[in-house]
Amino acid sequence: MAFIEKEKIEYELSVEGERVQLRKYLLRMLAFIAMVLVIGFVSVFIPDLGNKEHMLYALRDKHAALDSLSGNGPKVILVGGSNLAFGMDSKMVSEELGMPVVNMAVHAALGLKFMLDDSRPFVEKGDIVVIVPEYPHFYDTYPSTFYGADELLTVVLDVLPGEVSYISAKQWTHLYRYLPKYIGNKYYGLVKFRNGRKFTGKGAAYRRATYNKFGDNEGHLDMKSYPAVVPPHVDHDVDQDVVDYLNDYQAFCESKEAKTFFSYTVIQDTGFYRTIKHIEKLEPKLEEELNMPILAPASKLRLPERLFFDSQEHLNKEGRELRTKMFIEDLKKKLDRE
Amino acid sequence: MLFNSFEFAFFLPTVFALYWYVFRRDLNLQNALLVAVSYFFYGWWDWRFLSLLVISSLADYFIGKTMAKTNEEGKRKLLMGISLAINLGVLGFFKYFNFFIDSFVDMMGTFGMQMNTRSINIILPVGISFYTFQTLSYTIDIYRKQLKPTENIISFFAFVSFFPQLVAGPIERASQLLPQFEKERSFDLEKAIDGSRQILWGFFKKIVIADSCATVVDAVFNNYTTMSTLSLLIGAILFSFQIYGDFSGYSDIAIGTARLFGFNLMQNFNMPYFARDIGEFWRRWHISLSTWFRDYLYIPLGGSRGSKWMKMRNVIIIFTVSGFWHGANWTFVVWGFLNGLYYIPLMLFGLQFGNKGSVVAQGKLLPSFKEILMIGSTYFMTIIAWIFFRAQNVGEAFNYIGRMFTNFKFSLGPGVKLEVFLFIGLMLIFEWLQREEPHGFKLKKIPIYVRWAIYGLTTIFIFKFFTLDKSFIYFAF
Repeated sequence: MAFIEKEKIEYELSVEGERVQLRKYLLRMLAFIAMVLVIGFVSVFIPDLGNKEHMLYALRDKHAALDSLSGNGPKVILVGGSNLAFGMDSKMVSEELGMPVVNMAVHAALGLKFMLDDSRPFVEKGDIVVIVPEYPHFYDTYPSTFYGADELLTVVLDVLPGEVSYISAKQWTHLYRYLPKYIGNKYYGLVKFRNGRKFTGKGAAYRRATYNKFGDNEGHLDMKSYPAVVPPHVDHDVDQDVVDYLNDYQAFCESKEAKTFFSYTVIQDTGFYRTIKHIEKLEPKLEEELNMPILAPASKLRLPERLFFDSQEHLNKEGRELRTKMFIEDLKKKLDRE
Repeated sequence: MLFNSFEFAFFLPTVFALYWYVFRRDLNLQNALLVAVSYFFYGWWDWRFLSLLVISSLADYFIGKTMAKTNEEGKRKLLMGISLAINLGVLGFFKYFNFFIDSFVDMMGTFGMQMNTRSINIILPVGISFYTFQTLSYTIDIYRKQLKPTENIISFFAFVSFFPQLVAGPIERASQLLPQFEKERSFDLEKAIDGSRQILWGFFKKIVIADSCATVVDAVFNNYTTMSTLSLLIGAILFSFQIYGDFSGYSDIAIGTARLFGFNLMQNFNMPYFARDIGEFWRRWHISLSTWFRDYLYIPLGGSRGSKWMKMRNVIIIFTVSGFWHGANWTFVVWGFLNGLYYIPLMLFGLQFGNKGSVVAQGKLLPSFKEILMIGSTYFMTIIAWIFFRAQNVGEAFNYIGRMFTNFKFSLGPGVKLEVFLFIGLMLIFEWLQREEPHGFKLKKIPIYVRWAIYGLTTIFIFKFFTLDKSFIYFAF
């Protein structure tokens, strides 16, 4: 009996000892987590040295341009990713349509949702909004960029801090995955770019300063072309949320008596071929469900590789001119029909 | 599930809490929990292949039990044969079927016989080479009467599927790991803290070193025909660190995670790039696989006994098979064969164990000039071999090496950043200073605030280089 009692005491002592050890371990882990949280929290207040001359900050200039046009009559607002920033001559569009144009496009990784949210406050009566998403905005799985990626965190936490309220709870469930990268970049920039960031090679075309007053990027126009990374084959289904969000945006514009149009993105031959399975799902769905006119079929925006600057979607000078002319022609046709 | 994913960041603490707070009182329940979470961990990737894990576990459990009950040599041999057939059959089908078909067709083609065959689209189940070898060690050890079979099926299933090392090792021996499932485990604070440190170091090696090297390596190898001597050399050097960071990083995370649950897994890497000869390199690189082949293939073949030719034959076989284990491609075979060739001179001169058991520059801060030369020449040999490992085919590897020594231009490769080399340097300094320790992040005798500053900086670096969905190279093996 005494033997059993002794064993029980020993066991309880060992259990108790283990509990103490576990508690100590958990306290250390909590201290580590707290340190990580502090690192993350502080990062938001660190100056964004790595990006302050980066093209993401061109969004501020675009907002200023839109503010200056507010209340001065109808305008054209272009919404999209970098395919639009690199591949549109808004001056030409403005001259042809006789209306001011602001190209709001910067980077596809801001996500289509944010791009639409960001443009809403500027939509006014008589405006024409043309939305030019890129294919990954429609994917139903990773690497979908409908909800944005790390560049969006830079925008809503540093470039336009007031716009963090645009990020929905559902969007945060996608975006939190990019928080480590954002935090790491902030600290890294603090050390690496303390004396300013140098944009060399094709990087020189990715600066705020290379955007003109219409919001188009012109930094690449006189640069040589660089080979594009060959993308993987894409077979993703279309995310219904994206189509619904586009229709919701169209309804919003209609309520403001503004017109909305949709255009496919330009894409290199190879990229088109490798995305064809996705496009074959996307086109009929949009034809059937999208509540806004589509300027032209996707295949019309498939262009030869010689017209591109450094990626599947970034046009060079020649490509930009051709695309802009096609865009004007298609938009005019649709406007005439309306 | 990947270690470097948010899912794992939720998975690990949840399992830890359940393991120590809910299931602690009953060993069987604790093991059952490990089986369940390990299957969940594996099934996260593709639940269909859990069936292979079950088949392999069930087969070897019952074969082991039956084998131990009989002393009839014929019956024991038959059971051993069944175990080998099941395990190697599954491995052979999923990993090598297309390779053999394609090689056969190519061979017939060289004799002028054209054959129309179509490869089957077979998905390679993650980790199949690892858990197959692990469970084989169980039946082989029972066959050799070096191990008694377990009566507890839950322990055995837990041993086969233990999630930290299930998909990329270390390949544990039944005699080492299985007993750990059969006795009560208690939480050890020091072990858990050191395990956590090792996990952090593993993430550093994977995310900061391997993933940032990968970008440059891919660009160089995919465009090697247009690259200069310097770019090709940089591509090869960075690949050597990519594969080291990737695989040893995985092993560190696996070993560290296992320690949180009270388990000791074997050391899988021991600072291999500080090796002074190729023999020492192979005692420090993927140790669990090297020793597996040593015990279950090399020694049964005769090992280092017999004539000079026999010894050479055995060395070539072991290295070539080891290469083939990595994948169904001639590049791996040549990589293994080349390492065998490197090893033979050491063996012929009786130098293969020359540096066994010693650590370079033991008790000193820096190595001697002779040691630097030895480390440098060994490293150079390994990077030449790594080119075969990384190339798409053998022809490409020869072209790559040829251009490295003929295309004398010295422009830097695409995307080469100084910071990659800085981080590699940082890793090497840490590992050099800790070269007598089981991992590079022991941080003994360092004031607590310095240690925590290092943890903080390491975390920031990991965050900076963190990329979603970057898998581990060895998942493909």
